[in-house]
Amino acid sequence: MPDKNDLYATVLAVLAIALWTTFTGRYTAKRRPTSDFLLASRTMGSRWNAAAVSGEYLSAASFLGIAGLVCKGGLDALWYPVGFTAGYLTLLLFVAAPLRRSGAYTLPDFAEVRLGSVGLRQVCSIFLVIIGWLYLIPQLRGAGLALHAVTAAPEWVGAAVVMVIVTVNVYAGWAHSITTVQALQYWIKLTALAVPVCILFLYYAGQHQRFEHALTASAPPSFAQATDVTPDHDVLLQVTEPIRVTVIRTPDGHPTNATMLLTPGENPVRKGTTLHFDAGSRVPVISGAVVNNDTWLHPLSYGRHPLLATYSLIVALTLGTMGLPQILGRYYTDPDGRAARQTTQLVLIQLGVFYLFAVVSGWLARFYLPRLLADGNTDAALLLLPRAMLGGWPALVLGALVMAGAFAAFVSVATGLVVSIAGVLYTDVLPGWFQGIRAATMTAWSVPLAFVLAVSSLDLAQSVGLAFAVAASSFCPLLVLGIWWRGLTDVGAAAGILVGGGVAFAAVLPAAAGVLPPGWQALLAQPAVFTVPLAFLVMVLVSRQTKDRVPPDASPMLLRLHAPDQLGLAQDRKLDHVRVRVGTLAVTSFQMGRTFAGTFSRMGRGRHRR
Amino acid sequence: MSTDAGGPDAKLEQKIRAECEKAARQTLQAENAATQDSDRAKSGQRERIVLAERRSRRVVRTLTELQDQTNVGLTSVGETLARELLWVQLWLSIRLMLLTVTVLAGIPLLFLLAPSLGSTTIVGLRLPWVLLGLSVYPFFSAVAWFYNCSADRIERAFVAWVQN
Repeated sequence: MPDKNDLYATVLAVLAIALWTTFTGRYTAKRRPTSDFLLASRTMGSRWNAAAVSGEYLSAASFLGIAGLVCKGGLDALWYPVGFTAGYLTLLLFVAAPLRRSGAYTLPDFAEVRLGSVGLRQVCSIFLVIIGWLYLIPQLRGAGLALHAVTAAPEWVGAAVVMVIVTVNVYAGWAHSITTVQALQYWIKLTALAVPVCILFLYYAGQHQRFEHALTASAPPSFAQATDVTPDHDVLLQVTEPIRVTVIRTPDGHPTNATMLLTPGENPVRKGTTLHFDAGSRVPVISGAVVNNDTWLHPLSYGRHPLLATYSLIVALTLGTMGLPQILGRYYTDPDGRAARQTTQLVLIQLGVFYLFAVVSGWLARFYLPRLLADGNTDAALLLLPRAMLGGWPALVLGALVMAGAFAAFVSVATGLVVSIAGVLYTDVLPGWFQGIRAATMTAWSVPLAFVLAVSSLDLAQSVGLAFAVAASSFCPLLVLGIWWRGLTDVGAAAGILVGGGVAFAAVLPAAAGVLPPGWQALLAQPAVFTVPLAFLVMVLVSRQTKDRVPPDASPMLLRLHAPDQLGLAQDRKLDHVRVRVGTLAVTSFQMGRTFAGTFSRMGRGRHRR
Repeated sequence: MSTDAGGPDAKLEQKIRAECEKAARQTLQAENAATQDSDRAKSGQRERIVLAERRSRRVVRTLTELQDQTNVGLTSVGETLARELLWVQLWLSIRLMLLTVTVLAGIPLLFLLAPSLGSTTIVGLRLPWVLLGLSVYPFFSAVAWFYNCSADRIERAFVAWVQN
């Protein structure tokens, strides 16, 4: 239950992150022209940029979602961090260096540079917005439930707080993905995760004998002390043996003292009901989570079709990363293709270190926070762990640290997304609709915000997985074929994106809205295993049918993408005219931030960056 | 790397190689100059910021040498050149991807076919947790490291081949 000190610590942590974001943004907005544009690529090196890539990548799903999902799903949930990391390996093997050499700054840029089609650019822009929105939803939800879990504030408050911070920064012109700021974001998130988890793990190691037996028991976890559980949503609780509980408050808030028998199988409990469990009582587990501890330890125990779901997830995450809206722009900071490769190699290490701690926190939550399994709030596991394990001020300090890290994740990822969505909306998708880029910004975040308020959704990590599935089914084929196959045509690419991405989007929509028909779960919530091959197939077949539309400069273009940097074929020459055309409309996130800062005039000439 | 682009193209090829070599040398010089510039900057002197690098003009010339007269598509030598490089790089990526996919897809399959492996413990930890929670990350890094080394080597060989 919320405590006054918890409330103060939370407000302090959120304020600290808000002020930090604003001040670094403001400070660097003034210093930016020379530091980030002209010299950054030569003086910063891949180490800074790698941390910046990780900083922009680690979102609510990574920071909070992994812990919650591990607590719930056990071993099978480990595929999420593995897939999030493997995404960068595919990016490295097939995309990183050639894409950097293409000189494109966003995915629509790449499509236009490579295939020279404005229509294809439009299609890419629309999908960029869709993926961005899908990715923004879990950020807003994460913020909502983070504040709700610790301070009992309504869920919209957290989302609103994040949106206010982002909007203030965008309006003031301080929202831009500066390498140093994003790099520091990574280190903030890592510290906010690693320090609490290390301390809590040492504490756990000191008393792990207590759990040795429980770990391998073929039974659900049990409550260490008497606990009251109040689900926020209607839940189905599964038990393996009958449990008698006391209902101390009815759904409409009246105190009672009735007893309720949870029978083996699924028992519906309405939201707002408060159930009282005695110490030592077995924990009823929400439907969808793994019930017994020993199966929790085992592979292939989570969900209905675990093997198919696992494979589909691997496909979506390993191929979807390259299609996320905010990732590619970061590679622009690298001076050449080789540096882009080295950056990616470092990103793999940084993500691995981060996810190690995330997984450990999920492990701890299974033992110290079993009540989350009953009220369904597993995504809050990391935030509540310090308080559940330690007491007094250490819990307060660590809790505030975790909260700060979580908000750093929400704000940094949401800012990058809102800025790139708004830029694309303003210039490509609905040109002429908005009075200014600020109006486009409002649209960029109000759609996902409305969605978050309207429907309850999946777990954070799972709902991020939906964005990955659409990205993998639309942009991955475009990038891979565009970089390695000269026969790709604009019609083929557009057809592949529309069919693959469209089918994937149609499939994940029910999951995103939280209305999954039972039995279709594996297929709809994670369609990548079918839609990615479909997208590739359509793209290749249609390109074959439209051979006469193969761009005449396909061969020199591919040579430019793959020629070693020493030969100096790679240049941002092609992009320059794109940049001049769209530059005045302020399309990219870089450019947007600078427009507001009033320094736009100094950067219209994109050429000097390389 | 193949060197079968002989015959009528031989003269042209030599010309291109010479041109590439020249361009590469000039690039190197420009890079050296740039390094000196930034060295000077570090030592506290005023730094000159160049908005458009000179390199690009020469590069355009190299590129046009590889392109045919109609200025669309590559000369047959340029074509061979590009094709060779592309395939060597792609083959490297595909091999490493197959390795990664085999390992990733193999893990769930392994536990499906031999469920007893799921309860094996290694230094107090369950094998699946060790595999998925710990050892995949060093594996990814090793693949990435190997790829970067190999890709660099291919590029060096290509540059040397172009220059000779």
